[in-house]
Amino acid sequence: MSLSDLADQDRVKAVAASWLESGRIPHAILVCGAEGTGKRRFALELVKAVLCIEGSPFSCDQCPTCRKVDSLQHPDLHTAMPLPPRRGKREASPEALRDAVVEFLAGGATPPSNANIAVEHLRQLQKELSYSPTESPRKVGLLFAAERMHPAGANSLLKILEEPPARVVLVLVATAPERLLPTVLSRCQRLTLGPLSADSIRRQLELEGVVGERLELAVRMGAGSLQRAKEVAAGQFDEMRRLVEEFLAAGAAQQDEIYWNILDELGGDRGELEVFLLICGQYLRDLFLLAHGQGEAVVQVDRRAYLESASETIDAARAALEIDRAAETLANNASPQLVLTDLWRSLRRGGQASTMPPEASLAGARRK
Amino acid sequence: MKLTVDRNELWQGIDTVLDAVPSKPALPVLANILLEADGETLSLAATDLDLSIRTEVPAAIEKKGRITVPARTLAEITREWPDAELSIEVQDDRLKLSGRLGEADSSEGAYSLSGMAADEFPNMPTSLEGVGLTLGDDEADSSVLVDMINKTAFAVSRDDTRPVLNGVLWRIDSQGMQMVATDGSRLACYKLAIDLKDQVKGDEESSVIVPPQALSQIVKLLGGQGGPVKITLGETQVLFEMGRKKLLSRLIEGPYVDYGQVIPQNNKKELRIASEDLLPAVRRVSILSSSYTRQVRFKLNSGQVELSAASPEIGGEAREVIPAQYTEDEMEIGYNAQYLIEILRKMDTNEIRFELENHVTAALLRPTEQKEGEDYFCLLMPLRPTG
Repeated sequence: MSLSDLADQDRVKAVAASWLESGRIPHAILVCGAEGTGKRRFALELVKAVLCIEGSPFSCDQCPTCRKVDSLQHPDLHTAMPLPPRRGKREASPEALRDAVVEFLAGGATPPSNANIAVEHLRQLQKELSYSPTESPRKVGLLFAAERMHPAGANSLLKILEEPPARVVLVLVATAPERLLPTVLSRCQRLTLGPLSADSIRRQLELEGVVGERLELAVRMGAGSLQRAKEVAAGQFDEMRRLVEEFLAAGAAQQDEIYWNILDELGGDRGELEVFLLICGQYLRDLFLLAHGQGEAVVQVDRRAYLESASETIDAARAALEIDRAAETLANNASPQLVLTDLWRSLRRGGQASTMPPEASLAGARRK
Repeated sequence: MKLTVDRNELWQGIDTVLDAVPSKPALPVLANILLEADGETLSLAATDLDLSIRTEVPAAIEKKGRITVPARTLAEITREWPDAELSIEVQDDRLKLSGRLGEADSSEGAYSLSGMAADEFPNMPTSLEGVGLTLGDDEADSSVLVDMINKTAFAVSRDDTRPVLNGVLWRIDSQGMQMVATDGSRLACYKLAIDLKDQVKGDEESSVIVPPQALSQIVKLLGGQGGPVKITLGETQVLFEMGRKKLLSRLIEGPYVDYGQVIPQNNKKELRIASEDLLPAVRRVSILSSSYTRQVRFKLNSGQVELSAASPEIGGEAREVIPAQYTEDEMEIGYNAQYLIEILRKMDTNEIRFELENHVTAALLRPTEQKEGEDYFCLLMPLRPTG
């Protein structure tokens, strides 16, 4: 595969092509974009194009250089990524780091939230980059999940960013670039990958044997993220969707016992609640669309019957406001349980709570 | 690939390249040795990415080919193999070694090792573009190179924060060569004026920063054999060719620090001491120097130098007076004993000349007698005098 074979992302591909064609490649490139938009693959293909001397502007994908980049065996390519902390042990060896990157590139899970890029690995990378390249005209440092750099590590990287050694290209990949140090951010040229088109997600899922309503659901719920679409196709959100449906229906019918069940099942996990609210939002959007005769565009294509019956009892526009407010409160670090409780109260009270400031309603929830 | 090779030849070849095999390989293939059979030679290569060594051994090749196999394992098998012919054959990515082990017809050994495709191995160019010269003919002996390296490479920085200081600057132009190394506290500079007009064109000049590992390896390879050495300074790599052996090293990306501006120009005060007096005295006195600063103080008087040190940790003091030629004002300077001892050892002369200005500026140390065309000096920063 080379950059030209990647689906979508025409704008960033054109930018990369103009860099590669003119030979004026920035010394630091930040590849960013939402989860599941193909950043890993894009970054690796970009690196391949930088190192390959055969193909123009992109990599030829056949020469030994390209093959070595694919297997991460290229002597002028140095990578790093966050690894889970190892209690009481020294940092992972270069081989362990390399194995982790290989697995990550092959579609491995995003590193857990307590994983950081080790300062030691960044220093090693810096040392490697201070030597001249071995095989290719340039040498590349490739950092995945760069926002997970420890500030001390990021500062040590600043040296390279400020006074880059000759022939060095540093590629940073980040989902949340705003979490990078501003000093790092300001020295990188950004390539932002947009959401993938529905067609390319559909094609990819079809290749993996997903069909029918499930395919349509996955494409729509994925909303431009192939990773999310694959998770939907694999049924990872089915349980959550069941909870959302119960929650919305029970809220409208004012059945408090169901609320307690849901609170039990969601527990106090912030990430779970975020997904829960996201899916709530999608359901309410569907209800809104149905109410306005736009039934074709709904996301939950396989739950049309539920949507139709729910649209009679739920005031979607009002409930959507409540969901938005809950998501905002959650993002402001409120306790997940309290956010859910507050949301429930406002849903079943028929909307008066939406006029209250969040602090007051949270305080009310606490008293209860 | 199919060939027969003499065990001794093969062992010598493997032994030569084995130094380049890293103990902790960054890529799995680097733990391997590359074997290439072509023409009438079997070439062996190993690399740790910074440094590559390649050599050739004569062999009877039946079928050419290339493969990589685990270096240490192949080395052990070859080392233990008796002095006899060895047949090597590659089948399906496996290397098969076989041959007779003794006089008797029935004694036979067969070993097989799984290998990795040779394409995975980093490329090692056999020639480089750049400034080239050959040492070892009448003008300059290759031992000159060893001497230059020994006298400068010790001063490189061990601190990774400034990569350029981790290497030795090497300049070549038509008038000669120069090597410089510094870590910020001391500097060693060796200039050699030799006529290289035949080899280096008029205005051509090249300056590169070579990692010290490559230099110590070249000293090791040159130590075994006199012979000519051909050097090519490329843009990103440097190549040394000694007969069948080739050593290729990556360079450190420059530019090097502007060291010229720290070399003092008007150090008027001169101190001369016999090295056979100074070196042992510094070594003895430094035993009682502070383990943190390693400071040895020099009190210069006319006609003599008083060396002293005090160690608060041990609670000891040392003092020695040695004769010296000094006619200027009285002065007291402190130096790091470790640095001074290293420099004195490299000086290789009967008498050392210190060129000084005052107790806070750098001292220049030179051997009193130098060979023609040779200009060697070290710069040493003083320590702040402490009580």
